Amino acid sequence: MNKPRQIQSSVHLPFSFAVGAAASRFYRALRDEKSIYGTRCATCKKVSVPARSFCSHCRRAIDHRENDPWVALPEYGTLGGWCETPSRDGFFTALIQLEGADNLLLHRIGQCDAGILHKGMQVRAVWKEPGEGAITDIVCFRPDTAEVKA
Amino acid sequence: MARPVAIVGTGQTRHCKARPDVHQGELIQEAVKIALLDADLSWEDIDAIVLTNMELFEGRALPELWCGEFAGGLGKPVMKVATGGTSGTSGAIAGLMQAASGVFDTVLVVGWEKHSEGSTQTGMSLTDPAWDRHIASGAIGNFALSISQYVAERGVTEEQAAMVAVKARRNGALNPNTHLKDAGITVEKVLASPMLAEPVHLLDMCPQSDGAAALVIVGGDKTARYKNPAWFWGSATRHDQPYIGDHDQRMVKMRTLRSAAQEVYRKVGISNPFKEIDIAEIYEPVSYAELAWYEALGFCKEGDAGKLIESGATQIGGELPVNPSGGVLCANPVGATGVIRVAEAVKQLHRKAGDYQVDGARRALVTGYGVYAWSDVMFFSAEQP
Amino acid sequence: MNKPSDNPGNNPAQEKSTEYLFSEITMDLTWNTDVGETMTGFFKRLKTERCLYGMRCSECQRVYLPPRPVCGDCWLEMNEWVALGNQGTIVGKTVCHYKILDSLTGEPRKTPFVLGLIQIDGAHTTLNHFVEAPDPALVSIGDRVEIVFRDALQGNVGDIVHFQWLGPQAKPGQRDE
Repeated sequence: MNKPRQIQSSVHLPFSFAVGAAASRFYRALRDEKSIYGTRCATCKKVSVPARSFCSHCRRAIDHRENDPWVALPEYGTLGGWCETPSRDGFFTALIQLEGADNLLLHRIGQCDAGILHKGMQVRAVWKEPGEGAITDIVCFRPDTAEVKA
Repeated sequence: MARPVAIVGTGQTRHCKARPDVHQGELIQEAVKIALLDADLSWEDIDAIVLTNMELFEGRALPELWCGEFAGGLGKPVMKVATGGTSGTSGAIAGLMQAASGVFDTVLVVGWEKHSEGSTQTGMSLTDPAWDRHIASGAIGNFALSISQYVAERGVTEEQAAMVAVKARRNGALNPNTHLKDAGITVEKVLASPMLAEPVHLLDMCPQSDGAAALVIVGGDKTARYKNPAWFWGSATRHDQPYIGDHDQRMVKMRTLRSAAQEVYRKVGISNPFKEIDIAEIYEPVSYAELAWYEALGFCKEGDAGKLIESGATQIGGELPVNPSGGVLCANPVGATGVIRVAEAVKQLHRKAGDYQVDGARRALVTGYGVYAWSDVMFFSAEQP
Repeated sequence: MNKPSDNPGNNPAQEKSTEYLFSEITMDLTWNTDVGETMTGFFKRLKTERCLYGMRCSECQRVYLPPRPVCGDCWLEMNEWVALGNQGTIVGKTVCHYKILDSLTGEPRKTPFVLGLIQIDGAHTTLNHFVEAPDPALVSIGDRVEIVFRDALQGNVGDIVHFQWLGPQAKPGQRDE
């Protein structure tokens, strides 16, 4: 019986994913304005973040070119949930309830010890300088210890 | 067939080289929206969805993820068909069978591809690592090898192949959804275009497109309200062996297409395809392929494909228009291309083909082609089976 | 609800001034593929004998290259190994003018290059591979070729470097000097 053979092979595949017009505006705003935009559905009035072209609740398109569904959200909110095991670079995956949004933003909490994290704590965005037009233009959210809104 | 089913709505995006303004989900949504409008239905009416997409090309696994939001699939059963070029036609067959079974009354089929996002050639090189990956030389080289055998066997000329490309691009100029259009294209222009792999010139080849297409299928009582449904009469699918050289003289013999066509003709009662079919939307990835498919489908005798294209009979206005839409040579978002073939045949039966409408079209043949010669054949009619 | 239109698809030309963003991601992916019992046997024979082997179906008598355990046409298991010759005949041929990377070296392959469908002596299936000739235009269907193996065999398909064109007049076993 021959020893079973295994072949190792590699491929190098470059991709350039179009994020779409709605997401493009969202990321440009992160990069150029340090603003976080949501979009409001004209039917159910719910605001979703990141901004998007479709309302999950209504299953209807949000026309991001007309009717101005764009809502500038503040850069602060509360901690909805988090993963207790940190990533290799010391951040905790987290769900952030930005004030004014009707859904949670998936991002990360950092610049703190896990021990102080609690549901509902005030958090605020930490920005990357310069921005690149990616979700990582928000480096992370950090506890807003002063609990003072800007 | 368990019960009669028909396609009652179609939708396509404007296929083009790149759609940087939409992600895949938004692209799908455009086509689905048009198809639902065409069928006068809404998201809620869909019972099941079939997706057709070669996710490898975009490097995005689980294209079903788009279903919840963008194809109206939230809470509904979704299946995916990814069989290379035949994805769209095999997916359409799957959707038609779902409706014919009686388990689902209204089925949506949606196919798409966003070639601009990835490297299709690299994706295509993900074949068997033990055997053919290291000599992967792309689809064009493989086509050209088969074409060289077909040319040696049948004696078709470069000019005859170029006539196929001319027919396609002139038809494409009449179709608002095509990626490539050229009302002024000539045989000389095709032959003057850069040589890719002998004898295939650039203008002999299909493009790579971003685009989506959708079909709405209904069965049972749901068919009653439509004036011009495109009734599905039957289909056949054939796959072949795994390596390019497994069955020699592939393009000359096209055993999968021949066998599938013969099964369909038997099922629907066609004995003289050239006379009894009004239009055909066939999957021709390269101009020479259309000539080979004429013979495999029995539109002419073996060896007469060159004469057939020269006769003009396959032009719009001819006895059997082939690809009045412009065909694959005018738009090729791979996951969608088979769906587009179905949609374009159905549009003829719906009388919605506008400037490229074939008068009196009532019986339509559709074919799909993929990989190492897999074939689908389908037949639709304005008459109920 | 959006106003319905014939084609709500965006016309990219109208939004030239809008900056669309892209996620640029490169995936370098590696796989370990089990080649299976039959190909393991094929590679072992290649390495130890410097010879390609096919597999014959006892029903239809077709000799398959690459070998495999089942004949797809007959649905029959196969186990008859057949030693194949070192030469073959070109049954399909093209000259490619587009760039590809040589997977062994990672370098772009020189264009134009010749691809052939080659029927190796003893096999019924054909193999697509590169054909080396002094001038691509010389190569024709019907010409003979000879396998060029790597000097130090590793027991994988890369051991076949390419096929050397022998010319139209060469008989099996002779080389055109």
